[in-house]
Amino acid sequence: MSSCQTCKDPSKVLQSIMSIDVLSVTKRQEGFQFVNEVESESDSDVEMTNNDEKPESNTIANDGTIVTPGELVTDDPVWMRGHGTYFLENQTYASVAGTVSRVNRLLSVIPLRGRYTPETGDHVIGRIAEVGNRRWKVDIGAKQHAVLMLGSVNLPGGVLRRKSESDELQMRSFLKEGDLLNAEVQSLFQDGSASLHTRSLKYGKLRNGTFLQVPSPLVVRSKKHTHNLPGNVTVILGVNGFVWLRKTSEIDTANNTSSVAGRNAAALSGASGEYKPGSNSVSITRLEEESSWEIYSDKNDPISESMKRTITRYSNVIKALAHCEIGLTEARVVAAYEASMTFSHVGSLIERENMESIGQDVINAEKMRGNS
Amino acid sequence: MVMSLTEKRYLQESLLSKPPVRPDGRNAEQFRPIEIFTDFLPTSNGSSKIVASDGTECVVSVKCKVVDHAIEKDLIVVDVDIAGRRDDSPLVQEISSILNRVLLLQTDQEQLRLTKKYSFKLYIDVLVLSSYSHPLTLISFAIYSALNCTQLPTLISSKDDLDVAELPTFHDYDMTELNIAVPIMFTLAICGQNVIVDPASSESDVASNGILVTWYNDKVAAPVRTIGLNEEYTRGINPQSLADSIQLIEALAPKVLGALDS
Amino acid sequence: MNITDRRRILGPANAKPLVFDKSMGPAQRGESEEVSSETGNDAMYIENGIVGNSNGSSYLEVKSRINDKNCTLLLTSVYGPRPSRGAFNAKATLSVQFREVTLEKIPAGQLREVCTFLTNIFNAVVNLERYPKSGIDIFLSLIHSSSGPQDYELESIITTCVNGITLAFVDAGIEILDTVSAGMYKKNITAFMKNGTEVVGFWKDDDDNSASEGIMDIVEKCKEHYLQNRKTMIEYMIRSSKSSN
Repeated sequence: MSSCQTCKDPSKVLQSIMSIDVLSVTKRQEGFQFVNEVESESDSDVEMTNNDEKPESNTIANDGTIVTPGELVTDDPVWMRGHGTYFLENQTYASVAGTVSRVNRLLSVIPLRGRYTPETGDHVIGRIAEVGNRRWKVDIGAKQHAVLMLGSVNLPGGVLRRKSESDELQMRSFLKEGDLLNAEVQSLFQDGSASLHTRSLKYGKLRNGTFLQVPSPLVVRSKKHTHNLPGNVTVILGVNGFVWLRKTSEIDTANNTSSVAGRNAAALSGASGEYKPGSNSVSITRLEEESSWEIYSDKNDPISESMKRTITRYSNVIKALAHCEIGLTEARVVAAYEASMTFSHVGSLIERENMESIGQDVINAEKMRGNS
Repeated sequence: MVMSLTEKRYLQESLLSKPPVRPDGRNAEQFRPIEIFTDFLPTSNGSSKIVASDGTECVVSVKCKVVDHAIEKDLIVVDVDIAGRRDDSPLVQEISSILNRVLLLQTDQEQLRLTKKYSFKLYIDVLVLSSYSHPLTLISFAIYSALNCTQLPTLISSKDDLDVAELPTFHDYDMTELNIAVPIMFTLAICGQNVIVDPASSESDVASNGILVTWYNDKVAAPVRTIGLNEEYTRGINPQSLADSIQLIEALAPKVLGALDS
Repeated sequence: MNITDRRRILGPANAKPLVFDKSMGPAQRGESEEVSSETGNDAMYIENGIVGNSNGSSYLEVKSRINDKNCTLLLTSVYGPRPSRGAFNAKATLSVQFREVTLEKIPAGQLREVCTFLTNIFNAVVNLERYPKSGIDIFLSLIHSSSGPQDYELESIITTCVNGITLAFVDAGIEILDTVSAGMYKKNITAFMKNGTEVVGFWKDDDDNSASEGIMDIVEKCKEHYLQNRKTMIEYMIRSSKSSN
């Protein structure tokens, strides 16, 4: 997945004029590109694994092998067939283009492209699509809208409060159409749609920043999806490919230190800074304090212009990484950010060449580290 | 795309600061990179395809027909089709009406005269495959590149056919390049005191107003007008912004044409 | 008691036969607004509240100061704010429909352009936040338009539309931020608010006449016309509110 799509055959590009800072036009003579023309060296490793050596009988495609629809994955009927496969005459075939995944006896193919499929525990970012009866419909880029029940959010006035009828009536004052929030997938319904919850301080309405979207397979599932980056910027890489960049808040810093220093430190670095012996769970007291109307505010904190430029730069480098099909991790985003510093003008990062050079830099840096 | 209130406020504030901080870091006078493919439709006289970096894609094909210009006065017809929108939707009707009028009013129809009786009539078909922001700038760039690579059949019969009752005849394979000055149009967004070119969809959503400026024959031409980019944030603008936008286009248009012609 | 006769087309329940008022005629005109053209202003006749079933309406007759063959008769009616269906909307949505009721001379595409132009102007002018979940519809009926050499002059029609819509909004009692009016200079129209310090709409067409002039000069010239138009409109509004008291 970390292959950088390199430049097209130079002969096809007649001229690539950079008219200074106004409009860059790439001219090509033909309108249609054919696969064999744009083939780059990185495509060849696909052929290596598949075309030459056909999977022998009784063997299965290894974990991580790339397969295409209709390709035989295994003819061993003992395997359980998961998503992205189908079974025909005792043989299992792939039904999507992607990588083979083996978990115990379950064999499935994870598509390289396609909509996000929610899984329980995923940290996602969503946008409210509809306010309904005791629930919000949230667009998380999946097949169906996810559901966020009124009962699965923290409401002003503390965590242990009962949801009253007045809450039902003023749902739109908490979250309305278009609002962005980050949440966790709580459970999945029969049809594969997700139910979300925001019952933690790290989830909730998003403020102080900007949104961008990348293909969801590029976000690598990890333990942590909120990262504090250099330059006082925090990024939330939603598993569904929705990305939020914002000014680092106090809570972000607090969360970061707590994850490093462990539970005791977390208790001491609580918002109030006081340790109450009576309450054995610190997070609940903090929740109560911070679950004021503040958490549903539509106002941004004052953000300096230089901060906005930093956020913009991060946004552009993440787009560049996505353009080069590089999986997004904290380390790579930081590396790309550093690589982008050679371009003093943030706006020059939207040029294709510059995006590709950043992608190349990140890959090279990673290779170097791998070798040493 | 709907944006949340906080996103809009963040964006609006960024665009109001001087100089504006655009969401992709561009300068106020910087366009998004585009890719142009020309002359790729074998069955039309001229064609172009433009792909913008945000995925907006526009295909233009130019075809010609010989007509009696005493009967058909309008020698250029533009047909606009925007994927996902009905032909009678306001945006499609408005864009096609503007393009038709601009091309008819501004271009020199003498260039299409074939003989004393007959002329070429150009049929320009515009297809917007996907659009994320106001597509007029891109369409006009595409029309410009398509018309500039249009090849028309070479006439071999006499130019003076008033007394002769014969149809014009053409060379079997020789083509003549169409030489015609084509207007281009720019959409600008006004955010407070700032004027930005080529607004992306998110920028359009928070702009105070939009301005359409036409450029023809090395000067700003008609129509120039305010256009709505959104319903929510539209408001009055300082008259100075009008002058600023025209100045901006006067400075930029030659560079843009240079980039398109190269 | 909800039985309606669906077979016949019946008029409304409170329909009355058409009776012509004998006293109607040019004699009545004197008491309304008719500004003479001697001062170099447009001659403008205004009357509000003609369309009974609308929430607000205005009727305008404008005779140009420059070309006395140029005459525009326009009836504007405003319906709303009325509840809109579908998705939740925090602000009212505005729609403008333009119709030529007598002779159809203007191409449909151009009418579309005019409608979007007018919608854009009034999106900036109407206090739409005050009317959530509702829609405001504006219907413009062009009764007559002549312009000497051409069949019609779009520019003077648009100018009249802007003025007519403002008057109809005032009649309907819909909140607007300012008495918006438009001024025309050659083929350029500028719609202003806030005493000419803010432009809400600018339209420039066919620039043979004013090609050499700078845009600021054009705006300045439009502003003069705007100030005249606005004065006439405000005078009318004050007079009509006095007479109704």
